[in-house]
Amino acid sequence: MPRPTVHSRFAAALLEEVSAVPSGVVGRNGQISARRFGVYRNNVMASLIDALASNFPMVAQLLGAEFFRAMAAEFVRGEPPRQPVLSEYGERLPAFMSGFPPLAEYSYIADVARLEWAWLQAYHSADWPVLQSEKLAALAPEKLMGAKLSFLPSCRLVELRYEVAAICFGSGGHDCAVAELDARAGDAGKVNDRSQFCVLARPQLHVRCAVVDEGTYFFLRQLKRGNSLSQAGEAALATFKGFDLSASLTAGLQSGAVSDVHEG
Amino acid sequence: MSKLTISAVAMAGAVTAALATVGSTGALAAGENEKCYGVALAGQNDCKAGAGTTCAGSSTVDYQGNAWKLVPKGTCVDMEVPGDRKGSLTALDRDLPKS
Repeated sequence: MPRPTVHSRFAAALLEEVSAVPSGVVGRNGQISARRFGVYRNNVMASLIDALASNFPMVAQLLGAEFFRAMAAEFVRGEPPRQPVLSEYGERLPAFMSGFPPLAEYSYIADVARLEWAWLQAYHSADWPVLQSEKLAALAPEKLMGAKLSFLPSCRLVELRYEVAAICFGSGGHDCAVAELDARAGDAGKVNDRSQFCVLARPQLHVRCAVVDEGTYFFLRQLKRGNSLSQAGEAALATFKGFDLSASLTAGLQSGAVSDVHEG
Repeated sequence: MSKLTISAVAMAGAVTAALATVGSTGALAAGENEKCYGVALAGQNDCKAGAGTTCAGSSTVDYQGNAWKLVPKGTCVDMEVPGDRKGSLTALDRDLPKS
């Protein structure tokens, strides 16, 4: 362990709820000011919580500002950012929420967080051209079996435990259907705890979320790992009765996540 | 148990059917949006991009020429806003905030 410096003591104290001014930290006039240090510490915490609220707007809406900020503060103390880009902060929030006791009755909200994180990553991925139909159509039939697909850098395959995709992407907007969900969650009904499988991609400017069936999700995962069309199709057939190759291919292409096709 | 296999004919059929559904020309992604300049009301411009980014909702003038909003592809340049103004796919120099 390196010896603590003024900077490391300063950084550590910023994340504590109550702390003395670390030794070596003084104001401009050379005086130690607990009040001024408190203001600074408060601003750091508030800015990190604001960052999380920006990165997880749906979660923040669902939980309400008071609950969200209290939860986010606990998260920040346990998982401070490890890199300086605020829009890349919060990767571990969904997992934190899954284990956060006050949310035990609302475990679907961690799924909303998972989807929001995938959305944010897709949004900030590199621009990439989408596969042109002509290229796939031009491939000789005998080449198709061994052909492989590549995917956009923005493509994320997300498996959810609850059916929450409509909450985030219901009518295309990013902040729709919250009121409706709250109403449903208030009833005995809650959110459907059936798994949901999503393909996120940003073909141009807008992140899209396609909900697909489990067979299609499995098939696309196989392809994304570099398996050929026939390998992926046969693996899906072996795993899912009634797997529909044509329908799954259609769904995969419609998601806008496929960037190119390569001869095997 | 016999191994489940897909014949080359079945694969070709599946690809053909998929292409018939999604369209046999152009990019394989439906319903694109485009950036449309000069049509957003003040404070309503798009650009949700997470923490540390500050552009969304930052326009200060109605129909500000250098602020954009996502609209369905192909609809931007026909979009009319009051005062005989239209949307544009590139930034405009009309209706800029006074500096």
